[in-house]
Amino acid sequence: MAVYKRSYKPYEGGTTSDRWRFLVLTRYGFSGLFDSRPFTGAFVLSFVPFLIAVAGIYFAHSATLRALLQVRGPGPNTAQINNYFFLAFLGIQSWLSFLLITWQGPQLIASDLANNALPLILGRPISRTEYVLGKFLVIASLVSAVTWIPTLLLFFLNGGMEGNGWIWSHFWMLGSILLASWMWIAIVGLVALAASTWLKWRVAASALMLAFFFVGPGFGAAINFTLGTNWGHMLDVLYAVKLIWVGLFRVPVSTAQTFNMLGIPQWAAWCSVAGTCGLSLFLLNRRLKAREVVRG
Amino acid sequence: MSASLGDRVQVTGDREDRTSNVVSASVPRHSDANGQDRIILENVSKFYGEVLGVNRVNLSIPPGVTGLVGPNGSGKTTLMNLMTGLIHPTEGRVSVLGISPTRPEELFRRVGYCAQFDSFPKGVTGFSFIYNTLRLHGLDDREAVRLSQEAMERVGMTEPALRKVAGYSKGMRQRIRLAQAIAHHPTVLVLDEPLNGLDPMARAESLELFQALGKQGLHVIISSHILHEVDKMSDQVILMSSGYVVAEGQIHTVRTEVKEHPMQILIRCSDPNLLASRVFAQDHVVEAKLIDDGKGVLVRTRDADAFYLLLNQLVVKEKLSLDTVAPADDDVNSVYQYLIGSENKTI
Repeated sequence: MAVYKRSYKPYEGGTTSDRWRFLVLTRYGFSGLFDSRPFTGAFVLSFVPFLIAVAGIYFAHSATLRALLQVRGPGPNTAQINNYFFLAFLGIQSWLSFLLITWQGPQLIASDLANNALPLILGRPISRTEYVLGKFLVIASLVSAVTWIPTLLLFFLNGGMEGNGWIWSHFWMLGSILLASWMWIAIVGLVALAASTWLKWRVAASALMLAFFFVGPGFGAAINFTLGTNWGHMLDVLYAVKLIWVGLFRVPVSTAQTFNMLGIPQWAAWCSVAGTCGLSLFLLNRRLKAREVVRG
Repeated sequence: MSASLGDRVQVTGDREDRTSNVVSASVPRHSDANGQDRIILENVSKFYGEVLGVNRVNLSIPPGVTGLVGPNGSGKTTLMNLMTGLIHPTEGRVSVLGISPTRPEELFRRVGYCAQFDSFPKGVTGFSFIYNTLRLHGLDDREAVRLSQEAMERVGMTEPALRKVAGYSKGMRQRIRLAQAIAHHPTVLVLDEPLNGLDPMARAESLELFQALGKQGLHVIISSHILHEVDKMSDQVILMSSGYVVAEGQIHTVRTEVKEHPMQILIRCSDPNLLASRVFAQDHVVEAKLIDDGKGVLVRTRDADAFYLLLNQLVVKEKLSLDTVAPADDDVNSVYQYLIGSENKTI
């Protein structure tokens, strides 16, 4: 066709930044997430420990309240706001976030696969990596809202109430909270997404995710028992996470030993976490294709 | 690239040799030195493990409407997915208007794709479906709303735009999918079975839309099983079978290349008997058959050009009065039957 005959004009208007385009997928992910009322209820309930912790911090610092309740000074009856407190709080919140993600996380990709929506989405100026990133951010935002954000709020609340440079003397804990939380987000997020690419049915994908976290420890325990070793803990990613957190929050060796948290060295725990994330990425890469193979 | 189809049809077993025997009737391969105005596939093969998708495909598709025709499993969707970068070739190179499909950001700004799957995200309305895809294209809210409304209007879906897609009829869903493909004003439109489920009125409107877009210089690649519609709308066709391109180009030219099957020409004239006797004396005419109403002759000839020359001479010499001269099998349907119908029988 002669060039002069071509009257068609493609779109030449402006577009938004390519760099943040994947956030469109994150926004879609969120829009469907809270359609379920029970899930929304569970999400709200996951902040109950936060409110209790706020009350605990206030109680620990309010002489008036303690006097009213006839509790004398910091002692066995008051909460000790220290690294154990934040570690315990983060642990509780992480479990709650795990339940939330097991509930809704796997549907993020599974629903696209079930609806054959991948060619539709990937037939846009968006790559597979950006697609995964967009979906991952849904999980990351959700887990962040339940884990490190409230933990940091508690940290600063306590710092404000303690005064006298408490924040500076415990500044290292900020890094611990963030690193521990983001490690957890990476594990839970990637495992949830990988599970959802393998099973289109959301319930089955959730079950697969649970199986991953709870069958691994079973195998690990069996290996430990049979071979008389501790290296079976490498298969237990939850154990590895706990072990790393114990290190990050500077829990003394004696305490860690009490809770049997020195089964494997720190580097092995990091390897276990890295292996889990790597395996999830590998599975995502294998399964996330924008095509369907018709055999026969 | 042109080759005699006689060679090709006789090949039944050795697939390795078949790629050199494609009937090619396309216009010159590169109208532009860099392939900036063409979709080019060079020696492209795609295997899914041991399953053949397409093999050694060489195509250079110019602007206009291109019909992609072939039986189920012939590789049409694979070819479309290759053009849109949704899958990558095992071998060979794909270039869409000079852009490699490995660069989705650049490619999909210019490509609109409508997959064959009749599926939508849960709970989405027609409008939000198109709006969301436009946001993925990087349009801001105002532009996305404007183009969504424009696309809905273009496919006649303005009224039910705010209803949920789940409540749409199949034809409406098909039109919404078409709307999302054209909404961002692409330069290349790849449509996998876009006419499925449409009622006759909607089909006619869609065909008109495709033809209008093709005439404006857009690349419109359409796969379809409805051969007479492909025939009606396509400027050129690509015939596929078992993962191979068996013919490509303008359908009339492809037909003339199919020398094994003599061309059928219907002539209605004042003296069909005389015409039949005269033309049958020619070597290239293999059959001259009087049609049932006795007012015409159906001629089968190996050399259509020689026949038309002879017909001119006869009209002058015998003073014949012609009512109709029309090729009877110069369409996609016939070419499909000759090339792919026989292919299926022989393999």
